[in-house]
Amino acid sequence: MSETNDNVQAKPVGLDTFSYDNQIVKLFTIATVAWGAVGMLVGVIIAFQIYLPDLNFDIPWLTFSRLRPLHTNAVIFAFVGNGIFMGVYYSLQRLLKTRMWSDMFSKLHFWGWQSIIVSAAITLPLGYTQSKEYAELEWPIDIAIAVVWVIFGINMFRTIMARRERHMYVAIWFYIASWITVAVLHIFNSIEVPVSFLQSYPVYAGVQDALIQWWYGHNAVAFFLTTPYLGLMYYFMPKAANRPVYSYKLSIIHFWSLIFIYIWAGPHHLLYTSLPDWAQSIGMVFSLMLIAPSWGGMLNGLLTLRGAFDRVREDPILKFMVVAVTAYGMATFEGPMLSIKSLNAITHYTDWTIAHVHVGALGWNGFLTFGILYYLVPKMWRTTLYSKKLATTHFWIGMIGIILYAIPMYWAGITQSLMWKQFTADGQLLYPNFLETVTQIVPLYALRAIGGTLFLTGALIMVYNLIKTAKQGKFDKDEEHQAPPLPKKFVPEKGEGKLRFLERQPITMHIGVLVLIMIGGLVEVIPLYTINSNVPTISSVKPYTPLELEGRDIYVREGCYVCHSQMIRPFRAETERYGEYSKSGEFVYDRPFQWGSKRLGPDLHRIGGKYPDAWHYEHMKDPTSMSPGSIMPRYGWMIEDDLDVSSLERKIEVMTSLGVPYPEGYEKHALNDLMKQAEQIAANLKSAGIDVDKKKEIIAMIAYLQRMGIDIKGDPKSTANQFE
Amino acid sequence: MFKNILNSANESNLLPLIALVVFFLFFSFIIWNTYKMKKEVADSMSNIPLEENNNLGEV
Repeated sequence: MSETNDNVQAKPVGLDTFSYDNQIVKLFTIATVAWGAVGMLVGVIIAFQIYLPDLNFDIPWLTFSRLRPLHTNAVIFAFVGNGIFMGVYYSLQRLLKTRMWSDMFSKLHFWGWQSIIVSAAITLPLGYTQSKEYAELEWPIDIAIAVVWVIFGINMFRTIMARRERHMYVAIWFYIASWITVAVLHIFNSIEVPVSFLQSYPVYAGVQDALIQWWYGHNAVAFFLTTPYLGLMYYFMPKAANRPVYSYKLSIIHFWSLIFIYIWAGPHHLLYTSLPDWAQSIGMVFSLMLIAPSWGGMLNGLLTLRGAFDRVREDPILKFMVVAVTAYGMATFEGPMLSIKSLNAITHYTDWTIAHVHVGALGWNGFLTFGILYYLVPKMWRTTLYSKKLATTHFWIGMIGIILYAIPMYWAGITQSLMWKQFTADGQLLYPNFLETVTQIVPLYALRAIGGTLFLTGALIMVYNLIKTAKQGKFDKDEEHQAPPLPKKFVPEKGEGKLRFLERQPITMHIGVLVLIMIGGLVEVIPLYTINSNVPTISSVKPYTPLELEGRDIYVREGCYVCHSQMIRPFRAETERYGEYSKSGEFVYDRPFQWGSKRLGPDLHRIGGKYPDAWHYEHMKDPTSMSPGSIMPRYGWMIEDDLDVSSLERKIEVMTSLGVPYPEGYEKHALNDLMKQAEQIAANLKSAGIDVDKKKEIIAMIAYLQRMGIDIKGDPKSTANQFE
Repeated sequence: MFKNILNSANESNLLPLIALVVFFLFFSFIIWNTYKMKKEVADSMSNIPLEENNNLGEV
């Protein structure tokens, strides 16, 4: 569509002359660098906030629980996302020997993606969130993501169709698989019913919501943070080392087995939860199997440097790449190990998970992106790197940063886990106060913050180095290239095999990949919906009252799930500390589910009735007043702000449409019931000497907290009984 | 009918087994096809990223 063949002066016989679109690669390069700095900076800020709560400044949009999703989204979708597109737009054109199909689609893709990132940067701190990890963005942005993703896909697919290279190199297979799978995951996990312009409820509830979310969440790691980067590895490592990939056959096995197995492994995020055991077992087994293809790929990457390892000493690009691939190997060994139920019982909800994630994010994604940037910028600006010395300095600062980040987090994770499970000789919890297990690891959080700061410092050095490199060179916007056109007739070799056939059939390959990933997805998801015994209902579990529902939405808005789980696992250490273990039937009205993935504070599933209303009021106002030494931020604005009930009617309507058994026409009476319950809580607070208006947000929050986990206790005073 | 069968199923333990069998069959197919691939073909494919080194725009 936008080939620039016209202005060629001397056209060699039999060769097409065309140009590569470097402009789009440049735009994504700038975005990668800029958003990377922002995402890492937010990470550093929250790393300090986590143990210095005063750094939240009592400002809602600067509070840890709202900024943490911003950090994860910025790093995953802004830094890594733009990094993927940068690498794909550069390598795809060259591997296919053609320009991108449409410059306009490329630009639409770029500006659309940046608009999504800006939307996320505005809405997440303001508390507009679905609270599903890495899928927090609300429904209008979800739709925009789908549209932009389709634009990218069309452009990629049409470019593949217009190629001058008959066979698609393995990197392109990874790009195809990533595109298809991310589309499927995003669409299925984002099926929600809007309540207002920036709020929605998912169609799934409780256990089903959890499975869909972690099927998405795990595969977001797999098909956004891993497979596209493997594609980039298969292109940029051979380029940087100037030698072909170690074993092309191994790369084929790596690709097909990886994409087939990866999609099954999601349930390993939900081990020992209320998810049915069979689903947990599938997740565990397939996670273990993942070691083989992952390490096949890792070794294939490292061995590409065979005979060139001496260059690693001198070349910062290779240094970054070698560490990146090694980190990939470490993370993909550790991941399956953490999926073994007995080890997961120790590590889950602890900082071990944070360490694991950051070995992958900083080491694999971060370092590979840095290596690619150091490779690409001099190429596109037709110059050499401004300073190898600075790049090497960046490498070592980054390395020390990763080490200073990971080791304290592993240490913290193990410490937490041991303290949570420690009993006295009399059979009592040795550390019954959860806070003890937090204050113990605060010094490790401080070390981690230093590690993160070092990593950011290294990245900033890179920014300077790349700017200087660009300034000393001349950007080649439309890089000319020559290649023979693709002959229209092609006679396949006899007995070439099915895989060879697939390599030159993009449509068939797209379909094949789709079928493969759908097998794993459907086998896990469909039974959870269709087999009744998977989610046994509990008759005493009733829908939330209107006030509790409003309180729950505030809980979601503030991102409480970032630090508090709502899932008591069936271990003695947990039932002693929190109460009866959580059952799947207790979550049937939870939209979205709030099980969490990390405990910086205690589990809250049985918090209802544990403390008086006044305790919660004081705790939200200043956590240290109730728990001296607490590192939880203050949520004073809940006491100041009025509860917004303008969407209440619609919320009840949506919940009813999703199957929540509110009485017919209840949306018309919901506000009355809300005010009655609010009056009761305000009266309770008044009797404790706290004078607060019943219309304040804190009243709804207290209502929700007091409801949590009490339905199965059969408490006659429970608000659940109002729907009898 | 299919939904009724699933609704009345008490056990889902068969699913992991089916999953493993499906994977084993698929993996065997991949291994066999890769094994049969000629070395020259694999070599030519692995050289694709390096071929552009001769292009006009390389520094």
